Amino acid sequence: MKSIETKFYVKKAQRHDKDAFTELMQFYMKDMYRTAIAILMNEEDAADALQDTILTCWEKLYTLKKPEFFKTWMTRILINHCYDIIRDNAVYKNTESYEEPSKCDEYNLELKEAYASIDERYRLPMELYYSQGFKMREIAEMLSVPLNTIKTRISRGRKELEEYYHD
Amino acid sequence: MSTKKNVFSEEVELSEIVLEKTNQAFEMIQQEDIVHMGKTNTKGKRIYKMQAAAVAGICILVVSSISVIAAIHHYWGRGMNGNIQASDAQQQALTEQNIAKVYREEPDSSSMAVTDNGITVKPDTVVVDERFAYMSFSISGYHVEDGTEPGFGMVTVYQGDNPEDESAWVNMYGSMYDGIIPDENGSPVYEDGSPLESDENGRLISHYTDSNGDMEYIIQASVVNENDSLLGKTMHVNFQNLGTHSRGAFTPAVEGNWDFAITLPDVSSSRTITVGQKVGGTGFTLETIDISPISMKANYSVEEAPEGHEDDLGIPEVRGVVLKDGTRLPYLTDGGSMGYTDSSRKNACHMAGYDRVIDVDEVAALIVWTSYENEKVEIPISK
Repeated sequence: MKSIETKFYVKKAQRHDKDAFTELMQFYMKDMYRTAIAILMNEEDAADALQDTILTCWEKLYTLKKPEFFKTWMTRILINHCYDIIRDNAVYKNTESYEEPSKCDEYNLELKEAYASIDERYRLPMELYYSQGFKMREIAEMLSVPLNTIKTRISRGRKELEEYYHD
Repeated sequence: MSTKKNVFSEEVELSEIVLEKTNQAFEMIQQEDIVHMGKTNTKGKRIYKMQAAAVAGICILVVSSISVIAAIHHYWGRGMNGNIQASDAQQQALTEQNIAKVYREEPDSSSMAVTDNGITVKPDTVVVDERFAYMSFSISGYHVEDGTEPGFGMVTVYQGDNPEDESAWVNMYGSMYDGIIPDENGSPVYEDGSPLESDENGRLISHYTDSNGDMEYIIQASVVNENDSLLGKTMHVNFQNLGTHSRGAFTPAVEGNWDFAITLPDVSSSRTITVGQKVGGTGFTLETIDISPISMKANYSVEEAPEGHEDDLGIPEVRGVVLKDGTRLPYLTDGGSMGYTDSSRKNACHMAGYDRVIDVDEVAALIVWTSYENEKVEIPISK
């Protein structure tokens, strides 16, 4: 789906066309999943984050003024939901005992293994930059972090990943 | 070297739990559809044919008057006509009235062209009212392979002489025209109305070039301040470097700098209509509308501004119109802006451009969206 197509589908979805909305979200589903995993590193939490994001996007799509920025807008919503889940988990884990990793965490092991080798601060900027094609400036705005910090994080993350590849 | 794969380009598989939860979300949305949207969808399909018939009717009327006055045909550029669709007769009428200008018809059109590194860029068509300016530029001498998306590395647009001054700012959206337009239902089709096609790799086939091998870049600019006007203003447009876009990244192919200063037409096509009617289901009153063939500004008053949620201000939004012959254009308006116009939040406005030209005299009512839940009301207007 190219930018012009995205724009059309966003506009259709803004007119409450459910099929267009579903198609749009399905198109970005794997990118959303990768983003959620980069933050949460857990299938069940990622599934919750994606579900919340789909519903929020449907509810709030009307507020998106520039359809061409749909992916940036959606990704920001997803990241916020991921951080909400981390906050909720922090409270929850204070009162609950350790849980066994679930069976579904066996998916995409290579990705998770590589992510695990990178400091968590670097994972998300690297995912957004190398996999999803966002510009560093866009990532900086999305994460409310100075541009130079993003550059540094991507550079350090790349070194960590290189070490992982050479091990 | 390690045998580990590059995880950033590796395909991922969605787990059962992810598919289950996301499908649940889509099902919840579909259920909402049954409750809220059933009637709207049915109506939408019927409107399609009515709208086409009505536009044809307008064409005949205007052609009959134009044919007496002028024999010259002012055809807008291919990209401009895809961006804001207009019949031949509407193109003639707006150009005759100097609301639109076709630069390639000007005697000195060649002097307006800028050539750098073998690529020639020149202004083609401009359509303007107080709030919005649609500008198209033709590009000769640049070609891209099928399946790639051409574009400029940077496009800068400002009005007036000082780009640093706040008054120079405009809202702007630009893209290379690819021959794909919205049909009356908002679905993408090729400009001849045929359905979209994909190549053997599943990529959408675009038609960036015209029969001469030229491309067209389209800019939609609008005022930042609702009281500002673009009429007669000098619009500066600067393009830098040509190349291709892919996954959000720009790959330069030709370095260059193409700079233009365009004086926009100064003829007003907008008229103010007093409405003075409550917008049902909200606390807002639609006081007046400023309406032209290419854009609209709705002006509201409200006793107490509703509580906003995130970037939803709760201000009603005009999305379409009903014409005097009963034709409904529910998805007429395109991008725009809205907000309160005073610090007390007693007054608000919504500005929007259209995806097609309308005949203002034929508008009988406005279709206004009042909430996220897709509540719509019709507000009749009289001129």
